[in-house]
Amino acid sequence: MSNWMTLLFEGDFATATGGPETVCFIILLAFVIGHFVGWIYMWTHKGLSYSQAFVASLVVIPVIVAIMMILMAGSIIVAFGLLAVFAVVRFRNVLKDTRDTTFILWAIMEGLGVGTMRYSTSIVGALGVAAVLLYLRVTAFGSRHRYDAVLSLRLTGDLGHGVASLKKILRQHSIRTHLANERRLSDEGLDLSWRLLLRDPARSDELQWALRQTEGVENISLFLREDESEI
Amino acid sequence: MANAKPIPIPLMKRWHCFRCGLLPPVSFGFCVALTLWLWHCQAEMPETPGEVVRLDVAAAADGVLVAPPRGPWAVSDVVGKGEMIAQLDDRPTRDAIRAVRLEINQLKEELGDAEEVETPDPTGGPPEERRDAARLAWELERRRLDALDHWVCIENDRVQARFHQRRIDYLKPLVKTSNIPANDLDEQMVLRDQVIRRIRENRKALENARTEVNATQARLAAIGSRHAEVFRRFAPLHARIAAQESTLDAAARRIAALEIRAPIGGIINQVYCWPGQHVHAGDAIVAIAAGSDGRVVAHAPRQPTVPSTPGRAMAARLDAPRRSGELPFGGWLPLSTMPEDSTNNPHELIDATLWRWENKGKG
Repeated sequence: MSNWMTLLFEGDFATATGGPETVCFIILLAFVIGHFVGWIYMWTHKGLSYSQAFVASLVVIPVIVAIMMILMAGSIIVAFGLLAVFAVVRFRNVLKDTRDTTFILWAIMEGLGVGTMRYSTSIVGALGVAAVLLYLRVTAFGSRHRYDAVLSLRLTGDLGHGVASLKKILRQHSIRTHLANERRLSDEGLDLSWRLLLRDPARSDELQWALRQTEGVENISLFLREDESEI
Repeated sequence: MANAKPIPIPLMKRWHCFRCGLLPPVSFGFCVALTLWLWHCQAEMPETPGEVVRLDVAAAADGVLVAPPRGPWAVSDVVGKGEMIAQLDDRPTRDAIRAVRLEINQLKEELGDAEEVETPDPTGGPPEERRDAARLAWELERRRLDALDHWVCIENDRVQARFHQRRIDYLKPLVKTSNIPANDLDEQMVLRDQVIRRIRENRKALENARTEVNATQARLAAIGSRHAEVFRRFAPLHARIAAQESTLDAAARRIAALEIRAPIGGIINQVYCWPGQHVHAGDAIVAIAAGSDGRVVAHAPRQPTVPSTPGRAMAARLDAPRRSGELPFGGWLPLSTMPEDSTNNPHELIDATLWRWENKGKG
């Protein structure tokens, strides 16, 4: 076992500026900073062009670039070679998605590492980037408004009482609610549209039944959906 | 209805909420803590490139190289600490010792003749005292010759003992593989032991002889100052004995330098001289790269990130890849050996004592 560990972590045959714990530290620090950058982007983004894939790329790219810098190790020749590879790949492939670019970058980085005989760094880097991508997948990092249902209805009659009853029902069935749309109709009531994070999506029928039993609630429409789609 | 409790959240939903809501900040916090810890470790033990010590093993005296019993060394051979790298031909030394022995015999004869000659006294002093002085002077030279004689035997036997030891080292592996009978090896060992016993006895005798020389010198000094002609008479003999002592001393030092041994264990990196070549004192024979118990020389750059505090721990990174079980990964540099104010070199050469990776940081 120790021989395999030695092979894994000390298999760099080219000049190494640091050991495996240095590589791990670099990957971790790049991930932490990329994570921070992604969060700041999520919290400060306004507008309609928000993309979860882009946010995920913001987390992964620092890690890949950091490993690439380790592999280049100050060699201008390797840097020029890398530039040529980038140019060829970009010339031949139109990369529509930032996520695709990230994976292309990753593949190039691995080729660079193996080609420069930095085997351990390549393997540790591959495992590190894979772990980051898996983390992003598991946590659905980058999704902002996590709601899984859209409820539309019309409220007539005593609006105050109706809204209070509505809120009680929604509190019973939802973890989080967000009033997305409110349209006041002249003498006919109120059109409301809620985004809901349901406590149990399988019991959405009970929610609909409870709403139908409520006085003044009409035109109930419950639309179950995943997180907001990419634009 | 109005007071109905919230419906229970199923497990999958809870897991979904956890991994999308709480897991990212928890993971972030954990990664930050881990990063800070690793950063602290990096700062505690900064790394610097190093290289294993390579030593040139040099000849200590002039002479012709002879192959060791195992045969000539080649590059990449593994050598242990203290193992014989090469040896110098001992024939000149043996010839020198033989010459000294012949000269001693000659001196003994001349001393015997000198005993019969009466020394005239130009000052006309008391003849008994003059005779005592002459006798003491003769006695001194005789004892010096005795001491020299024992010394010659010792040095001769040392050479002989090395010869027998070489034979033993040569025969041992052959006996192990049963190519030759063990009798030859036993015979050599008996002969070697006899020689060693003889050396021990002669050393005792030499010590006694030197004690007697000192005593005679002291007695002569007391009365000899009034009889300068006695000293003049024995002066040539005295000088020749001194010359032989000097020759024998040089031969003894040469005997000590006949065997060239490895000061450290490791791998033969380069072979400069081969058996049969004539070498001078100081000529490199082979270069040895330190092995697993060796030393590493590391260059610690003077940078703010690497404060040159004496005793600071550093890890020396070796350029060459290592196989499992060989040179350890980390090292500790005793920066107390670093000069405090060197303005010429931006990098200081520091000896590093290597520690085993699993014992890193221990004393």
